[in-house]
Amino acid sequence: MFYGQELFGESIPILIRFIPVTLFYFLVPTAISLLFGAWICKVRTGKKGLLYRIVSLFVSFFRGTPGLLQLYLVFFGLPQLALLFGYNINRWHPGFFYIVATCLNFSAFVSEAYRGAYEAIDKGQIEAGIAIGFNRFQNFLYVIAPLTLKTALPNLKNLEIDLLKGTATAYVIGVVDVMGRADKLVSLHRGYGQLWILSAAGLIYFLINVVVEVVFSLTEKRLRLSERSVHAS
Amino acid sequence: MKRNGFKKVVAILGITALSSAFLAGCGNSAEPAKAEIPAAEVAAADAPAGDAAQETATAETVEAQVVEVALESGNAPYTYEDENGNPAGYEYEVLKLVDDLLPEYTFHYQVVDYETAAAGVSNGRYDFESGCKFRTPAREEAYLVSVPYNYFFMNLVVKSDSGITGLEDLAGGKSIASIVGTDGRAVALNDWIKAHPDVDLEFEELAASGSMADEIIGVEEGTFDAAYLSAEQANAIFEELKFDDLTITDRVDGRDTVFLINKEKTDIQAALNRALEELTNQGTLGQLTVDFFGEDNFEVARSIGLKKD
Repeated sequence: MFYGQELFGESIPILIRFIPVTLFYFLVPTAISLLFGAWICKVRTGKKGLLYRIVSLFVSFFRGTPGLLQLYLVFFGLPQLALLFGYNINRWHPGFFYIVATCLNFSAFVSEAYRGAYEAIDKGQIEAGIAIGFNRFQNFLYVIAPLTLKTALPNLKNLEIDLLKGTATAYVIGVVDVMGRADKLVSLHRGYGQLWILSAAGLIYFLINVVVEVVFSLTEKRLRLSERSVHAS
Repeated sequence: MKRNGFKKVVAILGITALSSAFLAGCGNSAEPAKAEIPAAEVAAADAPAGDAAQETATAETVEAQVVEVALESGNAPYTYEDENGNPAGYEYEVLKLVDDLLPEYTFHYQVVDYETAAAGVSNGRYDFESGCKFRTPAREEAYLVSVPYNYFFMNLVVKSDSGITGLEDLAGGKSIASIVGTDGRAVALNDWIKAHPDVDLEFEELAASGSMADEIIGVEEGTFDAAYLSAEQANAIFEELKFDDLTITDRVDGRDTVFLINKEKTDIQAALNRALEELTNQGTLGQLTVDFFGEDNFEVARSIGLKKD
């Protein structure tokens, strides 16, 4: 049943070459979504106007529908939408559509992590910031953002791990990352050694995740330390 | 509050305008497909798939209409990506010849998953797909189909001492390894079973995807009496599995294979058919099948009544 064990070792060096691609599709949506999610959070914690309703619907849709479905919607739907405006984006690299779909999805989740954290902040601290003369921007930069980020961090860590694992769905629209390459290796061998090739990919994802977890843990630790030093001083 | 809301709406409109400008910029770019490949991906793959298409694009006239072709990824030796990530296979070679005959079109290839190819052609994301497709009633309803560009023959993989030489020998409840229901082989086999009600062989379709290697392993392990696939697929798997107690029978059935074209692209269907007929009549495709499969599939199809002139 477990034929093809030699392909485990043979696949690893091939798949390792695609780690930068997987990281690309992990880091780019991360960067965009952390910013876009912050904007969504700002709207969702502000006045309940038309924009609030639109953004709330957006968050609810992207949190409430499967990521793979969203990927297909963007991959097949966006070119049709662009065509209405006279642009043919069919030839654009599938990675573009993956990034758009992932940013929409991930921003919705990030915004909720931020919102939960923002609402947990002791509002006295924000008032204290204003009291010592910070303008709105300074207050956001030195008080609201660090406090929100610190509280949101454990939640963000979980989301980032999900995002990294989610890159493995990009292969269905033709993105060749670690999973995409693994899938093509399986095809190349007509399913021979499938379990071994997929296990090799699994090992690589696991190791990347270990690194992501370590980075987050170190960041959390650093934030705790800096807080302690603030309290001590 | 209202002023704030207004500012936000203006901001959103601004972002939309900027995005449109970005879309416009990219749309007018001279090398859109290449420019948008992430640097990391280019670095990772020795020669990205885009390059092959790019070469074709520059070799032909600028006015040529770009035709999006989805090549199915899991179909070696018909359509697949080689070790370097380039499109490859018999059908890719056929398509290159077709493209050369059609100066009004330039083919741009994307190697994608089975489901993505099927959905993409229906929805117009791709103009047509190539993936060793049999003509089936469901496909003929959902797509336009081209004339055949190859013939696919099924053989049985059986235990050498089983005495099975054809599908009739599976009578008496003998079993064939399960095949995914959407695979053309399952359709062809079910057609054969319907046409031979006296042969009570056992065959179940799979809902999820399976692999041909697993079908052969199922025969080796005694789960099934036979696997139903082409000799070249079986031989390729034997090269890796090295089972020495299995045999490939003579061909037991055959089908022609066609490109599945978006329902609205009648012009592309006509062009494909024109080029394929020319290549078939010249004997070019027959020779290509000799190079890939060791025999002229067109001649074989003619000899067993599958191809009618």
